[in-house]
Amino acid sequence: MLKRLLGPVLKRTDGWVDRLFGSKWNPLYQSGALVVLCLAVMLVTGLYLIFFYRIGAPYESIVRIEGQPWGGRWIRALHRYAADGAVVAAVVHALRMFCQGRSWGPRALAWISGVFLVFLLYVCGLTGYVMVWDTHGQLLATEGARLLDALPLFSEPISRTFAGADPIPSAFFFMNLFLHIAVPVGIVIFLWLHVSRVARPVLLPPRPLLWTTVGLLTGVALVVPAALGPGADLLRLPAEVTLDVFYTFWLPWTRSAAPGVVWLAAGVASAVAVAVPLLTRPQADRRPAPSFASTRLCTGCEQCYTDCPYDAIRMVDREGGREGKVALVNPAACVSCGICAGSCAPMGVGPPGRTGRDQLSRVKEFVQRQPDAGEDIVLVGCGRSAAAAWAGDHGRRFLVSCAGNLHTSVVEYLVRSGARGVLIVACPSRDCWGREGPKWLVERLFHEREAELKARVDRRRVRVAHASSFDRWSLGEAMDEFATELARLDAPVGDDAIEVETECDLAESSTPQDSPLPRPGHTSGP
Amino acid sequence: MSAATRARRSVALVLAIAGVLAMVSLSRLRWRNPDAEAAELRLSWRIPAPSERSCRPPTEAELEGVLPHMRPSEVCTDEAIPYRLTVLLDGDTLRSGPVARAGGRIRAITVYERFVIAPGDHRITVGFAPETASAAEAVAMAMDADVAAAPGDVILVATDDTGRLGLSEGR
Repeated sequence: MLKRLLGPVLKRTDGWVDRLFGSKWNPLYQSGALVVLCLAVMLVTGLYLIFFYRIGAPYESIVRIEGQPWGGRWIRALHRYAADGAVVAAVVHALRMFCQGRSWGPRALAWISGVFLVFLLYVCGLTGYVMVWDTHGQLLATEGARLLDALPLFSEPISRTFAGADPIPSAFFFMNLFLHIAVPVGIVIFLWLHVSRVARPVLLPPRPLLWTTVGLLTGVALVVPAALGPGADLLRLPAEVTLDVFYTFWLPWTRSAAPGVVWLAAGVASAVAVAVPLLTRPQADRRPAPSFASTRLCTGCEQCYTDCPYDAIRMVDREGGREGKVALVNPAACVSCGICAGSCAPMGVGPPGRTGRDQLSRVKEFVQRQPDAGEDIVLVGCGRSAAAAWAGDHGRRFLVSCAGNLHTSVVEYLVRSGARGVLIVACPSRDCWGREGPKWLVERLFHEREAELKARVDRRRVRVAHASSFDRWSLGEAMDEFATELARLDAPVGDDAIEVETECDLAESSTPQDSPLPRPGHTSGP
Repeated sequence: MSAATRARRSVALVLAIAGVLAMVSLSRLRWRNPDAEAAELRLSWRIPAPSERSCRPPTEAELEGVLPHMRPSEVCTDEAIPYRLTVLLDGDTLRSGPVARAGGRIRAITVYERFVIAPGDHRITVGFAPETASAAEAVAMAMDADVAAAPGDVILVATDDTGRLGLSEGR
């Protein structure tokens, strides 16, 4: 339901933001990396602030920091705004993963560790606000103590600490500070878990976006200092408080609610968040089958092992006394992105129905079905890109499950069959469902990466465009530009008998006999 | 970079700045705490384990189970003394009932109560005494005071250094 509501909104937003920022610098695609960037900013600024913080006089030390116009004030503001930015980016990241169906199966660990990361981020943020010990911190501490007292944890109510009869013991501020510093260690551990199942995790955004983000946060920190309320007075009820919506949005609601209701609501919300991998998992017959590797076709080149974005392929010794290695797919780690299908020159690896051989069979049928359309541009597109909804003036459409799934033999076949040009439409590189599809595709087409496009293919007739599902403008521009360039070339000459090297017979079955779910996956014809 | 792209990037930068400013304004949202329109009566004190000890000579059966050199001359049991807290505001009862103890063993009694009261002049009466008449030696405390509570004020009733109930300093 939520996915159906948010999915289209997300796609349209992606399209518009792509249009404005360019898909390469779209911050929505970098939301996960932006969280890490904000954490890094918090770490650096926090290291500075810790030198001036005094647990014996917390509020006074913050006032002193605020009194440093060229140092402390803006560094504290940057620390705080980076913390807000981390929450915003984390929410965007989680919504994207949820709407794109990237929250179940092998990705469940990343989802659940992400939930814990958000929890730790909140603990870190809330202890940070209490550290300041202004009226906001006072309200948080008293409300937190009220809620904790409802749990059977402490023999005596810890709310008495904030009764006002005695000064707050330094031990409280020490423990708060300790938590504020120790929790980031937990964040690092969970971050490691979060990316442990992906190969080559990208932890920081590209430099222009990185420095623009840091520059914007610094700029706003210089202009708008972080809020600092009056010092806490336990014998006064804070009248007007500056709330941080990103961390303390719940405060106005919980103040008037019974602790049991608050804990119940928090428990239900947490349980739902952790259960998302189960709730969003498709039914067994709708799950894409994991890749398989044909031991007969595998040459042991290790390219699929290198290219797999999820470290789901291992190289193991061949059985039967034969020398060399052979690829073995771990179905528990495979998300069925199909990138291995594009990386395997002999077309021996890939999800059932989507291997290079299957693609080649399909493209043959595709060409045979439209013999008169030879001189047109063929749009080869990822089913999640703008190609899926393309309805332009020219161009025939051949969809694949992911541009990185595409075997270069398909491109070769299309060019040699007489297509005027082949425009491959991939998702923006940082928004690929299979993570690294567009990157490997470009490498294979133009940079001689293994399973490369053969030298005999005229590369002037091959072009790659990046356009998200709603970014019809970029695709239209790429199509027009490509058509103009192709118009300068001679008319294409198709081969009568195209022999594409498959190294083994095309009749070789691409579906393993023991595959539990042999099904075609996300592919469709024009 | 074409003029159109440059224009789009400029719009993007303006949007990014607006986004960051929106985020900052949401992190500085002024919120008026409705609780501060009233005053609060707060009770907070702790008294050490009030208990009643009763002793008797051990029975033959009890002595048989113990080595001769370890036999006690008497067997004692400690029973927690139940306490009752009574809070009156201008003669109206805010609370009157037993005070729950923390944990299963005999421990200190901790009182921590909060009551929302209307701003203005009030008479506060607090009584904290054992529920059983037999525990005559146990601590019993009482307080009667007139207070003027402004909106947002906390009227704190706590024990002083001598262990007597009273309004805390500053009130």
